[in-house]
This record gives sequence, C-alpha cells and structure tokens, in this order.
Amino acid sequence: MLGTGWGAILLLLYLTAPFLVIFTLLLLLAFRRGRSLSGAVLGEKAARGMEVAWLMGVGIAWAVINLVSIPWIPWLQPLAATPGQTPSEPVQAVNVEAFMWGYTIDTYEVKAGTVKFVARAHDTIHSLTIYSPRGEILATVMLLPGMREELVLNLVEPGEYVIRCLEFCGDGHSAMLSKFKVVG
Amino acid sequence: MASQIRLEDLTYYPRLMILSSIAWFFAGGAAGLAMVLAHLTGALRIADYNMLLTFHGVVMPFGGLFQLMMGLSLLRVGFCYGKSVKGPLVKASYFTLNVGLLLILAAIFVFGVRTSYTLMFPLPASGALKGLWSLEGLTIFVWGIILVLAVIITLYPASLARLMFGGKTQEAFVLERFVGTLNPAGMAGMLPYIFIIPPLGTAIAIGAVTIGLALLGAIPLSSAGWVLHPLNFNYPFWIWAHNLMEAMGIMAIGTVYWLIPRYTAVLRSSEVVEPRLYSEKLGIFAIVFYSTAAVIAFPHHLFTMPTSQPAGLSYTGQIASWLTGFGAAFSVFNVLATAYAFGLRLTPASLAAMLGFAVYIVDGFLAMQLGTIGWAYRLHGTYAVTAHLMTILLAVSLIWIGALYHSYRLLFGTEVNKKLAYIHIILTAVAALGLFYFMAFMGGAGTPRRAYPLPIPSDTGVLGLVGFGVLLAAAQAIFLAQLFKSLSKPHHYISDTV
Ligand code: HEM
Ligand SMILES: [Cu+2]
Repeated sequence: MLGTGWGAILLLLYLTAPFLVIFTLLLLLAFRRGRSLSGAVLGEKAARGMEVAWLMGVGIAWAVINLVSIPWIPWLQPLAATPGQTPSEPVQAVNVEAFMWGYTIDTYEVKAGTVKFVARAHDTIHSLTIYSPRGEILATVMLLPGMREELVLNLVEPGEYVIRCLEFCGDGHSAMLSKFKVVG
Repeated sequence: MASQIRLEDLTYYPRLMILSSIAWFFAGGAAGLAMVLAHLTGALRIADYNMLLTFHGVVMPFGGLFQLMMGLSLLRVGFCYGKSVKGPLVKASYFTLNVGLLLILAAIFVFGVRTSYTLMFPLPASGALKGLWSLEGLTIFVWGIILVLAVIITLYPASLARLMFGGKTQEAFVLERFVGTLNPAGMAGMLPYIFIIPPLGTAIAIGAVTIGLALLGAIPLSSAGWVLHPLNFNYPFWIWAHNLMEAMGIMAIGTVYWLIPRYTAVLRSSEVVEPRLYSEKLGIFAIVFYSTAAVIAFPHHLFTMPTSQPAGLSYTGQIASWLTGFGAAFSVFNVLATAYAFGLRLTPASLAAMLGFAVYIVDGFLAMQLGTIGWAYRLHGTYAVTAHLMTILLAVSLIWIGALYHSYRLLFGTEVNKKLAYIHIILTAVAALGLFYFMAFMGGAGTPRRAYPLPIPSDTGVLGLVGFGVLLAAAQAIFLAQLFKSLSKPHHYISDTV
C-alpha cells in the first residue's frame, strides 16, 4: 500500500503536517523571545543532545524508507512474485509501440500472471504507463526514441487496464491511450 | 574619492533585474492562472494551452526567479565586498537574459513552438517535422535558449566571481561586513553555483550551439548528428538542469544563513548586534555535504528507463537524492536552533526567509520520494512532480522575497509598510502549501502532468488549484501596490553619494 502513488502522498501528509505544526510553533516562540530576550536561552549541552537526537531520527527514517522501498523497484519485482508463478511459468510478452499520438500493441488480452512488456517510441519521448482496473498507476516507463525498454509486471487482478502517456509529446499528449484486458 | 561613489553604482543594475523579474513573474503568473481556469472551464484550445504551458514554464523560473536571484545576489556581494555592481559582465548578464527570453517568447506566441520548458527532446524537431511549428520558429527558440544558457553558465557566475574575487574594496560600499570568505555560512551558498554550474553546463551548451548553427545552415546538419541522439541529449541536459535547480536551492539556503543571524534578538546588555548562528561549522558542513550529494543525484530524472539506464546509476541517484535530504536536515537544525536559542526579531525579511525555508523543507520530503526508484515508477510524469518543482521554486522565491525586504530601503528608498509585507508573505506561504498539497494529491490519483484537457476526472484538484492560485495572485497584488507606491516617490532612492 505504501508503495503506491496514494501511499506516497499519504506518508507525505503524515510526515509534513506535524513538521509544519512544530516549525510554526518554534517560529512563534522564537519571535516572542525576539522581543524580550536578555541572553541566549539554549544551553550548549541541551542543544548538542537535541542535535544528535534529530540527526539520528532523520538517519533512521532515511535507512528504513530506503530499505522498505527496495521491493517496489519494478525490475526486482519478478524476484518477489508470488510463489509458483515465476520463473517456470512461460512469460507472456506484450509489444508496445508509441507514436504521436497513440499506441499499437500486439495483444489485447493476457492471462493473469507475469507479463513482460517490450516498448519503443517512434518519434519523440512518450511513456508506457499502466493503470490498474482501479485506476492506480502500476508503473510508468519513459520511452526515448531509439531505445527499447522492458518491464515485467505481475498482473493478478482481472479487468481492463489502461495505458497512458505521461511524457509531454505535443498537442495529442492528453488523449494518448490504449487498453488491454487481463483475464483470470 | 569616496564622494565620487554613487549609491546608484551599487543598486542600479540589481534594481533593474529585480523589477524585470517582477514583470516576468506577473506575465507568467497570469499564464498559470489562465491554465488552471482553462482546466475549470475548458475554454482554451489545446495548442493555446500548450503555448501558455511553455511560456509559464520558461518565464517563471528564468525570467522571474533566476533574474530575481541574480539581482539580489549581485547586490549582496556588492555591499558585502564593497564593489560597484555595474561592469560589462553585469550589463551583459541583464541584457542577454532578457533578450533571450524575448526570443523564446516570440518563438512561442508568433511561431507556436510549444514543447514545455524541458524541451522533451527530440520534441522540438519532431514537432517541426510534423508541421506543428516551423523551422524558423524553432531556430528562434533555440537561439533564445542559447542566450539564456550563456547567462546561466557563464555571464552570471563570472559576474559573481569577479565581484567576490576581483577588484578593490571600497569601504564606503561595505554595508554588511564579512569575516573571511565563508563566514558567515551564507557566503558558502554562492560558491557551489560558481564552481559547479559552468563545468556541468558546458556539454549541453555545446550541444545547443551545434544545433543552433545547424539550424542556421552554418554547419551541415549531419555534424549535429551526435547531439540528436536522445540519450546524448538527455544526460547532459539533466546533469545541467538538475544541478542548476540544486545550485539555486543552495543559493537560497545560503540566503537563509545570511538573513537569519542578522535578525536574532537585540541583546539588552549591549547596543551592538553581532550576527549569530547556532553553528557556523555545521552551516558550512551542511552546504558542502548537500552540494556534493546533489551533483550525483541527477539520475533520478531518468529512473523510469528500466532497460536503458543502468541499475547502478539509478541506485546511485537514489542514495544521492536521500543524502541531499540528510544534508538539508543539518540546516533544519541549525536554522531552528538559531531562531530558538537567540530569539528572532519579527520583520518581513526574517518572516519570509523562515516561511520560505519551511516550505522548502516540506517540499523536500516529496522530492526524496520522487528520488526513490520504487515511488518514481508510480509518480513520475504525474502532478506530484509538478507539485515538487513548483513548490521548490515558490519556496526559493519566498526566501528571496525575504532578501528583497531586507534590502528594500536600499533599493527603493522608502521604508517597507510592514503590515502589507506580512500579509503578502503569509498569504504567499499559505498559497504555496495549498497548491503543493492539491497538486500532490492529484499526482497520487494518477493525473498526468502537462495534460490538457485532464484525462482523469480531477474536479476537486482543479478547484483547489484555482482557489490557491487566486490567493497567490492576490498576495502578489498587495506587494505590487506597495512597490508602486515606493517607485512613485520621484527618484527618492537615488542619492548621489553614499
Ligand atoms: C513562483 C511561482 C511559480 C513558478 C516558479 C512556477 C513554475 C512552473 C513550472 C516550471 C512549471 C512546469 C511547466 C512544465 O511542466 O512545462 C509549472 C507548471 C504549472 N504551473 Fe506554475 N509556477 C509558479 C506559480 C504558478 C501559479 C500561481 C499558478 C496558478 C495557479 C501555476 C500553475 C501552473 C500549472 C497549471 C502548471 C502546469 C502543471 C502541469 O501540467 O504539470 N503556477 N509552473
Ligand atoms: Cu506521448
């Protein structure tokens, strides 16, 4: 859940809202002191302690988030796929060509399971962005013309998936879309 | 000879740059408002929207923010080192930047070049091939970009370096004194720009000039072949563009380090106010740490090429991105500890610097999320990225607004109306945060950026953007009213001697 777009934004809200509140309180306090201060009020020792605590807190959060995010990396996901599906099961491949402004894809229906997308762009930068039937972005891949990108996804949920372009490619950008089905 | 030194020698060009930046900000801001209103009403044609998008994207960061930074940083170096700010480099910086921007403006609105400000190379060429715009338009566009690039990677850093390291100090100009070069930490924030941007911008400048010459027919198109390969273009482009944004961010953090110590409380026991910072060492360390990490963080712009970008480069980009966040954490502590330990005088300058800093840090968390490979695959290309890029630019703008209020009397000759200034600053910060969260939520919902009409229903998001956009505009109108009042006092700010 945390590894989705919504997860990211919720975490953003949970971490930045308290930060803003504390920052504002400290700022108000600092301005109040600014009117009536007769000398420094933060002992050197207390300050050092807080400094170390703050940096350790940030360091721990840093390490935890970086470690937790590893399984979300698309090219590591086949390794973490549900048991029994990879790598013995034959991989289904979907070839996608992006152009101004549309896609040609060679398969409109795949079976639930591991799917390998092989994508190229013809004329300018596009992207292959796959939205789940619930409208969640599963992965977005940038396609530079002349390059070939491979993306392996584990598509378990049956339903209609939407492909969109998220890289600005001119006037037809927002209308660039295609669809495919995953059947159970 | 002191009587021959005119204050105008210090303030004339900085003021010109600042006023020009304000003009660009208003033109670009109007385009931004028109864009969000178009999302609400559907009143614009797609091509017109994309022209406004390109215009807004070029003008706000370069005509507005970059130029504001240029004026205020040159002014500050001038009055700290006691040098006049008017040499040929300074003049060339001002005119080249604005002429370049006018060329880009013409390419957009006369010839319809609409690639967004990141160019999306090779879109400028593919669009011309497809007949969306002409080769003439493209040529003007490219030469406008070359002029702007010339200022960013040579003329402006050279002007800064000349003022800092060359010429003789004139004591009468020294309005704020420095001890040493790095002291206070504020000055350290300028050095990364001077030393990082010129070398890192060289590759993209050579590419741009090659394309420009080929378009003019001065060299055969085939000799530009190597630039035209998208990988060869996009890596130098992002190495430069990423570090430019980081260097502008570091400049702004340096500005916080410069301003905040000067607004610590007046000690009752003495009249003298020494600038005080919680830890000078930590400040310099934070800036060096941050700049070093930032240099190698650029691969995060190209994370979403799972095959073309080597995984090792992506991992490096992720770690480096998070290290910049760690570097910023040093500054968070230093700045807050300074304010808390010594107390802060409430002034427009200190308020804007602190609120701008807060917005910068809040945005920093989203920046690190986008710098995380796993999240980038779900957010890249959505409004979450727009949220980050616009918020960091708004935060940095707000910090510079603090510097502008700090030097307001020097520049415009009248005292600031504090009440109006506080309203301006607080509304700007609130609007920046409002736009940030709404754009971030639109991104979380998967709404593509740079898309018109929006292909995913986003009514609430668009309403939020309209609301906070109008609030931001109202805040700037208050500032403008104050500025016009100051400017209308006939040449009050020009005094002949210091
Ligand atoms: C200091 C103030 C601002 C700066 C520096 C700034 C800068 C930018 C930049 C660089 C872009 C990216 C353009 C692109 O993706 O090609 C952008 C996009 C945009 N800005 Fe601003 N902007 C500012 C204020 C505003 C305001 C006040 C509004 C109006 C509410 C606004 C509305 C938009 C919109 C609608 C987009 C397009 C979003 C997208 O499709 O990704 N901006 N801005
Ligand atoms: Cu596209």
